[in-house]
Amino acid sequence: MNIDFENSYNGIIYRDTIVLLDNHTFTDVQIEEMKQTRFNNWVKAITAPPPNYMRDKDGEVLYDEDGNPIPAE
Amino acid sequence: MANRYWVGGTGTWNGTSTTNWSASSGGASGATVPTLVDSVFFDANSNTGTAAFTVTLATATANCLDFDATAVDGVMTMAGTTSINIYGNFLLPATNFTRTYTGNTSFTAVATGKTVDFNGTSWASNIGFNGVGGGWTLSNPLITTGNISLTNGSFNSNNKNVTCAVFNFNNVNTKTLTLGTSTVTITGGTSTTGFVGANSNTTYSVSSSTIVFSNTGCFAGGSAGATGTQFGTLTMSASGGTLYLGTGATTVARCTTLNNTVQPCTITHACTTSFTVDTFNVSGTAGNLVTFNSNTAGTARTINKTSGTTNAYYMNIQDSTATGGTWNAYNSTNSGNNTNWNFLTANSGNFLMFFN
Repeated sequence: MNIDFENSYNGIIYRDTIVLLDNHTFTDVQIEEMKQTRFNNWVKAITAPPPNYMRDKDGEVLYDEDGNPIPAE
Repeated sequence: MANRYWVGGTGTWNGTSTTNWSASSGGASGATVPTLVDSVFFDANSNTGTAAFTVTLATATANCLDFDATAVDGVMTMAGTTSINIYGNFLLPATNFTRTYTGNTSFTAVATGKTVDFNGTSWASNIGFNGVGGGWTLSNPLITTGNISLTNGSFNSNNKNVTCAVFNFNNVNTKTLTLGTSTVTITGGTSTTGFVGANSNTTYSVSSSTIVFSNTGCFAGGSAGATGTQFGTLTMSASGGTLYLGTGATTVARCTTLNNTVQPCTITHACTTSFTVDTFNVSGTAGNLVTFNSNTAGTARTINKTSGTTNAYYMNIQDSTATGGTWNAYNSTNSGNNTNWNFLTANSGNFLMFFN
């Protein structure tokens, strides 16, 4: 079974679906906790500082063969 | 084509070990390591009782058809750093699953109808969709601190959120991008990377989408102009960051709305084609101006609306040619080389009038 829910942060909408077995035994409280955890994880992701990328000696970002910036180790 | 069931609890998924593979759920180990035509299952018989167990991907790239962990009854940790290629569905449980895994994750189906179900687990590595004729639909949000790339096939976000450092589909291969009402958040782009796609060989269904930049990044791709590829809302939410519209080599599609949620920030028009927007809802605040400029000082870029009046506030505008409708910039700085912008001063009465 699918449980759809949505929330928002600073006007940005978060849409999610919790996919559970049809015979799951989770309580409503536990499902609400799942919703909040997922939403919090997303907020954490979108409010995180930018990743560090590898740069050359001139400070320019280095890219891989696909054109994506290469994360710093 | 066969099914492979993980048995024996904690173990390593590599190219040679048969210790943890069985041909049946809870059966004897010793089955061959799964290949791209074999579906893998992690279930209630993968561990002892409900004990936690760890599956570490190591040494060699892992391959499978379906990856199904929906029936585990103890906490399964996916670990390791080597890559995995998934040629079928990817199904995770809502609970009993954790990830320390950081390997590249590639969805490589060559048929449509594949489900990608992270089910609440965030990823920390690059995710690729690359299968000629493949088609993937998200069941729920896709969150990774790495990059997402669409190289071949059809990606349907199914109205769910997508969050990644960079979403890259800037290639000449045949592909379809369907975003519905999804919000795609770009968390770590550069002046030429972010949400960047091709303007050829790509079928877009993105007119109701929202693309958010939570850090500096670039929005480019699609065909430009009033009849160009239509995206929904483009949002700048990186305080102090820069949103680049297009690159020197890639055009920028039209958007229904361009807005910002933070000040100060910079929006830099970085391609020679015009940027068409239905609603320009960009403003700064007193002392926190929003800079709207060109990536090449002295070279004006064109922003276009079909009609109507735009009222922007507390802007610092340079090298901008506005076309279509009326463009007013209140309490803003004219930094030069601007055309068709009306720089005006709003008093409190004006503000009451405009915001009511």
